[in-house]
Amino acid sequence: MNWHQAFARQAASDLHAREVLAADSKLPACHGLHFLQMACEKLCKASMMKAGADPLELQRSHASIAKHLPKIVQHYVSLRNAQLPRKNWITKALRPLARKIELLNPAMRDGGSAPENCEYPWAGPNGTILVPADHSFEFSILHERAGVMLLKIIQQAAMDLQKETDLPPSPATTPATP
Amino acid sequence: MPTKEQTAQALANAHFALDEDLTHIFRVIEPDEINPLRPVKLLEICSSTPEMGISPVGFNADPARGIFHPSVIIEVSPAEYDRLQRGELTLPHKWTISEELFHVESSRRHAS
Repeated sequence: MNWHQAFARQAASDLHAREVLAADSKLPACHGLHFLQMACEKLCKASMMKAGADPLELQRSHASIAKHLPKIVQHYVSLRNAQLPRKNWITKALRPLARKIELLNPAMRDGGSAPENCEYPWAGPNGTILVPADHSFEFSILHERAGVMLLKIIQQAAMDLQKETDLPPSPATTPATP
Repeated sequence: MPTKEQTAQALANAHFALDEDLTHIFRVIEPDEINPLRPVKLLEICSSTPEMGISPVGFNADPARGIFHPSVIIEVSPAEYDRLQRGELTLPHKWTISEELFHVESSRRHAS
């Protein structure tokens, strides 16, 4: 297993954990959202490593979900939905949706305008301290435009990146053996 | 099996067909480009992408969808493309920008 496969494997596991957590109505929403955000970040990193990025450098930094996740999803959609028009609601919905997922990470505060996150308590208005476990998140992946489609595709992408599907040279390019 | 050139065109068609913010696509090549195991690489200029410099993403081949080579997509904004042209940004791994690919409508069904 190489690095991009390892990150894809962990992303797939994070997505499975998200499903389990999201299905348990006794648990706060923050936990499912946390695993969704982590899965998306690991999937983006897996795809960046697949493209040649240094795994050691990437392990120390945050991947940009807002930048990379829409491209990954669009790539899949473009090969599967040939009938979609060029101007379509899915493509338009992906970037804001990816940005919302990115902002679930406590390190991404959007210049201080988005302190709410799914992991650590934060300071609310009037000095109140707000806790993710008690917070009512407006964000639910199943109710966002393109949310269900995004979930399905990132699961597929995480599975695909675990495979080593690069094909051997075709007969025309294989050197003749003596 | 399609050539890398054909795969590049199929990917360009599929991507153009889905995103109206995509204005230009260029093939990117490397010194070992003739190697069929090396990925097909596209530089895509998109007006709605966040500006983060050069940050490629990679995909496996997808033979079931007519894509027989691994691929790499480098998405940049128009301003970042200008910076690439001026040499203020550079592609990694000795990659260089090659020919522009245009949307060929009839090829779209082949890629889907």
